[in-house]
Amino acid sequence: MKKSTLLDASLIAQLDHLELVVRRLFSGRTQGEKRSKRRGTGSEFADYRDYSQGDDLRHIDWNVYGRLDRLFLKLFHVEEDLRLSIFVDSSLSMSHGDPSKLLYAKRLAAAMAYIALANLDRVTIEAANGSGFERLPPTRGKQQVWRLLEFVDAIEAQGTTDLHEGLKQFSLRNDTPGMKVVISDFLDKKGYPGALKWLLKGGNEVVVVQVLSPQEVKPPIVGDLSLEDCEDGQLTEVSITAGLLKRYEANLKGLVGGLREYCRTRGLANFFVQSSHPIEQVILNSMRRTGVVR
Amino acid sequence: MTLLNPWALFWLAAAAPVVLMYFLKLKRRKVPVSSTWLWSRSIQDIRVNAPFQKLRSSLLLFLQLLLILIAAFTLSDPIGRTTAPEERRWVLLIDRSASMQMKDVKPSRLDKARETAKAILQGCGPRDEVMVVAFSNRAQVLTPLTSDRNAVERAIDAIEPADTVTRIQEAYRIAASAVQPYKARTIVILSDGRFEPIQTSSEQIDLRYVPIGGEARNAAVTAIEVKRPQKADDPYTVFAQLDLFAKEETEVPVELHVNGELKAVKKVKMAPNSSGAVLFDVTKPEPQIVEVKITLDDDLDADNRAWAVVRPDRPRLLVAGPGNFFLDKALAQVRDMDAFSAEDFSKASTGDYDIVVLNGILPDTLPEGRYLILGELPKWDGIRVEGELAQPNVIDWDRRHPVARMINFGGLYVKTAPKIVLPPFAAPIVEGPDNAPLIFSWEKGRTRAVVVAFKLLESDWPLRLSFPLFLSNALDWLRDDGHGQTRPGEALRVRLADDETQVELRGPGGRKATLKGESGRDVVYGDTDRCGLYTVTRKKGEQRIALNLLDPLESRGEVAKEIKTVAGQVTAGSAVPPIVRPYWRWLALGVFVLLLAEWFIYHRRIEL
Repeated sequence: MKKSTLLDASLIAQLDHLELVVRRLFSGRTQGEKRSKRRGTGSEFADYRDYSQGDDLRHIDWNVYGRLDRLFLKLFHVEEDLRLSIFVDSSLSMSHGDPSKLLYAKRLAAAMAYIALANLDRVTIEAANGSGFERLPPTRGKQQVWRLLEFVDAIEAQGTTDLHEGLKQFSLRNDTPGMKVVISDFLDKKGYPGALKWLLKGGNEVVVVQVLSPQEVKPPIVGDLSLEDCEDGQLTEVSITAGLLKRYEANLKGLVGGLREYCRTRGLANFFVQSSHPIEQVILNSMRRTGVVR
Repeated sequence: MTLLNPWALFWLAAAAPVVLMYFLKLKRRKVPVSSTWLWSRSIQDIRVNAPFQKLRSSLLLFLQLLLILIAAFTLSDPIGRTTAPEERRWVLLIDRSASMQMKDVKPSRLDKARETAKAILQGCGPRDEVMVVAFSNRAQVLTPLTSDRNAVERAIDAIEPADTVTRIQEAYRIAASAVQPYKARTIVILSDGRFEPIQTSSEQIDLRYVPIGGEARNAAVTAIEVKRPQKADDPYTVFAQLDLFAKEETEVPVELHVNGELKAVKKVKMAPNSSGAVLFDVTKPEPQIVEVKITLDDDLDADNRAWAVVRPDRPRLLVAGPGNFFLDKALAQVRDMDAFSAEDFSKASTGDYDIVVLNGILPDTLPEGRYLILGELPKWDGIRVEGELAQPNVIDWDRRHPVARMINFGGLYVKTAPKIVLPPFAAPIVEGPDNAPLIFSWEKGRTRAVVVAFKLLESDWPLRLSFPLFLSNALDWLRDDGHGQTRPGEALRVRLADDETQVELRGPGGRKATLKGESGRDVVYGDTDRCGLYTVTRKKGEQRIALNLLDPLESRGEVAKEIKTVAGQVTAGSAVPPIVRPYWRWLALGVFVLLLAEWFIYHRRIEL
């Protein structure tokens, strides 16, 4: 088996202790470790209710029947699996930067997926761009880690960014409520609000991770240049002046801040990372602090 | 506004390559970026925020085009004029006479005139030509007509003041003839305007008068005379006339220096604009040089000092020959001379007398000296007699000769006269037929003589008015060493002795010259612009000559409001032409500022 470079052993060791945290309850498909909305055959007592015909007799509380001469059914919290859907923006713009944003996104996706698999959660990963998508079907169980890593490893950047269409399709395909993670640079000429609104439906727990390269945060370019958009090849002629750089930084700040504000008001978890940040720090510090993992 | 060099506007074509360069555009380096989205938004932001965004996008191009426009405009030499430009010839007549040294305008009138002249020069069109003539009692051309401004400025700076009276006619004549061939011409007179009426020619020349000066406060010595005593023990009397030109009563301190030493000081209280005299008695030492000096701090220094050179003796006159009633009467009128008569000339010693009058007699030998010879012809080398003229008419006489000054010899009746041929150095004064002189002057070696070739009593001359006048003139001329009447600015004539070929001359202000010439002839020294004592060092001792201004008109220093010409009057005008204003300096400054701005903007673009 090919050895993946996405996760190293020390990171995996640290990830083994983590689990994903959701603030609300979802109904899962199979039994897992997350408490579900459903009452049923869990181990934790939840409530009583009157017996009605057809109920499982195994759940009748006979002690109460002895005292009150009425049939009550004992209800338990069902522990089910969590559905984690990760969306990785694989447009060409993500391949830029040193270190590459896409690689960073892939490592982050792999790390989160590993946490989920380790906790018996169901994971699906989609890499999408303007020209198409690749999908890892829902996968469960730690033994699927290698398959998952193989899939993530194979993701390659191509096409333009079309978050709107990508997330729409993503939410339609993964309509099971659960945790939805979006990893992108959000450098979409059409803007992000229209795209993110697809994730707001269905009471998902949404984590938005924005990855930018250090070269995008502080452009090291100077002089009279012709900037070529790597996605659509559009040329923009600029004469880089101090004023223009200031303006660019302000615009970038506006983009990042706007996204943060958008997420805050809608209860989405939002992280802004530069591709040079160590991934452990993001997961072990930032995500832990905001309560995405535990 | 007019362009002097409109062809320079072709430089505007230089804009074409600049624009072309902008069309060719800057070759930009291609840099791939993840997304140009943020960049285009930033550029849009800048465009939206900049009020002159369109302009700004090609600000450098705009600046460069503006630069070319202004530079081409500068090269085309624009000037502001109220009238159409024409090449004009200017002659600046700058007065440098004594009164121009007045300090009533600071630093002095001459400096002010220089300043005004330069201002006029500034205002002249670039192709105008300027000539500078300085005038005092004579004219001095400092530059011919030229368009070289530096040469003109140097000429203006080179003007030196002179302690002389003012005569403008010669300067005007030079100026008028210099500009005569041209159509547009202006003669500007920078002066205080105290000179004779100008004899303008008939042709129309734009004549302008710029008065220089203000109100002067000046005290001057306007006459000086030293009277020798009648008796041996009496003192010499020094008489000086003072003139005060001031508005208020002033006490004028006067010093008397005798032979270079201060002898007396007097203070003369003088009423405004009045004349006064001051007298000094000098006993000892025997005065040779007397100087009267006003020590008042006034506007003109040149007239504050006057010198008098005291001749050793009162001239002595020896009259020899048979008595003549008319001659005696006429000689009795001659002032300041002691006349002696000698019955027997052979016994008299001519060396004791300054002038000898020989009336009808002629000794065998005549020693060197001064002679007035009447009715005889001395046997001097070069004089030839070619027969006799009967009843010769007076054909002509030399009106410029000092002896013939103011005398009309016309209608003189002479019975007979010898027909004389003179050597070239002798000057005929009155000529008869065939250019034969009837009266002539003779100067050779130390001898100076006036000879009347016909007999007085065989003519009607003694009865005529011209006779005593002639005697007076002739004696004045014979007695004169030639320097009594010389004024500053006039040529100084020094007669070399028979054994001299050169003399040394020293003058005020460190003037020094060696005058060389033929023995027995006059040499001329011209640099006499300054008042003072001029000393001629000869083999036998020194001769001193005093040049004094002694001119109340110069000392008065009044500025004329208008000057007179034959044609009429020219009233004071302004300092002529502020009509020409060259703009190129301001434009060049603009080009410089634009260049700076372009440089700054260009560098700001790539600054991080």
